Amino acid sequence: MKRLILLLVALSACWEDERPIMWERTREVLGPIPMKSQIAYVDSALDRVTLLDLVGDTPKITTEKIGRRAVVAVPSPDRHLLFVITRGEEAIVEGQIDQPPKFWVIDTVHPEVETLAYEIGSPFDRVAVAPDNSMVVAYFSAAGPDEAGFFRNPNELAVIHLNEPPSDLNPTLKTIRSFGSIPEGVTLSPPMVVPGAEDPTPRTFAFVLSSNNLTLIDANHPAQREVSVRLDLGGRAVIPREVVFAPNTSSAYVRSDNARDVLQVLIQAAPPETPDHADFKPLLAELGAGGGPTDIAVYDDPNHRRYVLASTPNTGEIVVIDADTAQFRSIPVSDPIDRILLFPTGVDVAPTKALFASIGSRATRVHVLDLVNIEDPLTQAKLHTIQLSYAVRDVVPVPGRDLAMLVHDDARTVLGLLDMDTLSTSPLLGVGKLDSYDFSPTGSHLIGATGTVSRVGFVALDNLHPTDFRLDDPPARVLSSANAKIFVDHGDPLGHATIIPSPTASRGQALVLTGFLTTNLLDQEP
Amino acid sequence: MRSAIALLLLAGTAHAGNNELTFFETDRALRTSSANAITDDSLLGAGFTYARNLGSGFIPHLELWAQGAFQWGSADGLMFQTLTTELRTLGFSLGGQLRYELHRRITASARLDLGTTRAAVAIHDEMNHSASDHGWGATTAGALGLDFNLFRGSRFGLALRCELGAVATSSIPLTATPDSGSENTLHLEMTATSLGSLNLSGPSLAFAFVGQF
Repeated sequence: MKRLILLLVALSACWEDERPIMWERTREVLGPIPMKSQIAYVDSALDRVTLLDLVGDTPKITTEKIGRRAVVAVPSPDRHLLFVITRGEEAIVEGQIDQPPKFWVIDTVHPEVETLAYEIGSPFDRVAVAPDNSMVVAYFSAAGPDEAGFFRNPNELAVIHLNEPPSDLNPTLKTIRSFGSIPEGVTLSPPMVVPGAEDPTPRTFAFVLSSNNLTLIDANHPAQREVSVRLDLGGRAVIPREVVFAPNTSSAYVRSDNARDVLQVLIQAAPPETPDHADFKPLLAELGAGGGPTDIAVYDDPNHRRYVLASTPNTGEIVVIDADTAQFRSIPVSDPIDRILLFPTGVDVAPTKALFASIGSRATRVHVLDLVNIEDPLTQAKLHTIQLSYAVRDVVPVPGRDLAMLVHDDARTVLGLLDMDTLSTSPLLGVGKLDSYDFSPTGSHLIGATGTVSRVGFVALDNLHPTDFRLDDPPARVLSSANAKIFVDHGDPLGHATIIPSPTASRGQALVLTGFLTTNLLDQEP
Repeated sequence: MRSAIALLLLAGTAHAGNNELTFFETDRALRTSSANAITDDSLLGAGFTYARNLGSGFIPHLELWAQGAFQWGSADGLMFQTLTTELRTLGFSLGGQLRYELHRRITASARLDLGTTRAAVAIHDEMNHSASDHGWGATTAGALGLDFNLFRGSRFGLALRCELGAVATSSIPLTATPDSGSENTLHLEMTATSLGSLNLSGPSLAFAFVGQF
């Protein structure tokens, strides 16, 4: 009998089945991320990207394997590429693998292109992408070390050339000089030729924004030393917030909190002291805005002359600055303007009007400035003030249209549409908080949803006619794809979405897609 | 050929105490990767068996029994620390069992069953989203066991059975769909993607109370 008991005990000891640790991992789903014609989700536990292709009548689902523990996913400006940083893993228990932090490049338009992975050395959690997709800079947020890191060098960053394969020299890890501050943002310029430089090739410059400092890196030659620009004036910290570029003149315009003026950074050639030094230098100029600009916008007029619009509440003015000559023209305005939008929107069209709003002060009016011939000091500035019934909390341009959506309350229940041609406003009332909204690609419809109502609302922006689409489940987020399909994510970790073919589609034409985030989950090998 | 020889050796007639009812509990270690996805636990089950003695043959103390079984099982789990999972099974099987009396109080047995299993899987998240599906698969089970006779009368017997075996199931394709609301509501056309295939194979251990009459 004792032998039998011993046998049973031994059997039960052998019965324990070691479950692979992959099923015990924490899971975070990044997304939905709108791509060109697809919607992307990144799964940090299954280590894969799920792509829903909305081109056909039936969505096509594909998955792409990436590294362990995705922390951030960013689309390229043209939404063709998806960039993902994976933190990697240390093999401590069985089932884990040693994997360094990696930067992944997934081509969503050409699935036959192999996914590339660059070893980035540190688990960065922010990505800045060049406008031409040629390179990216990965850097740390100001969040500080996480539970998986012992030390973190917040001034370290990785410059990755996307047109070159991974190698010992790509990416380049670099620690920028610090004067006690850490990067709060990185902006990459479009390719710019450095006037007077021996190398006439257009280069991309990384502008690293940190308190009291602006650091310039030649991203094409990241091994060269960076150039630092001190911004502080001995008083309150000057924090750079916004950079806009004028590639034709190799210059950038920087707006900073607590700064006196808009800072123009003109990049010019300078003979390097050693091969390690940069072969450029920034020439700095304070454009005559004065009074501490709160927002800036840059545009080219039909003659390709570049202008900077700046709002300076301290002096009660809007300033129009000729970027080439630094001559400026001031237009008095009593409201503390902190938002500037240009119309019509789009890259290839010269704007003809600018909309000014005071979001912070909750003013009940907006101003529209006619930009045609504004540079001519003999022409009277045409600034129109539009009185509204409610305070303005946000202003959003409608893509492709001369319309601006005005948000009048924090809950986004009261909206208005401002027609920039006629300068008339039309109120829109919603059934609840507008938790998520998007515009159709042509700007024909406003699409909105609230998390507590199983409906998607549409407003035809031609005649402001509202329509509803009844959903089967409450929405979490609504997106409009490039081919004008409406993608409603229901916030289900297993994957649950409603795809509406067009704003005018009926329920019979819509499709609910479920389980796409757990596709073939049971067939996953640890 | 071997089966035919065994049947010939066992040819004979049934006698009193040739029927048997069994209540059993099983513990199946789920070791496939698909089952590991669902749960960390073993599949705990219970069921009933009816068996009938087909007779004893030329080999002394050797008997052939035919049996049919119905069983159910369950296992719960946690996936990615946030998704709770439920696995529920139902099974029906038919098979045969060879028994050899080692001792007046101990009988050894070897069993082979064929049957079918229904597996139902449900996944829930913290936000009360849920999805579920079920499917059927074929099952083959084999086991070696020992019966310990607690009481053996002329018309009634009582025994405790211990079995160690293995269960092989075919892969069961599953497509989890969210739980629908009111049946009167017209729902939008739905397309669900495959969850994959669930395989519930694994070694099993069973204990049973056996009543013969």
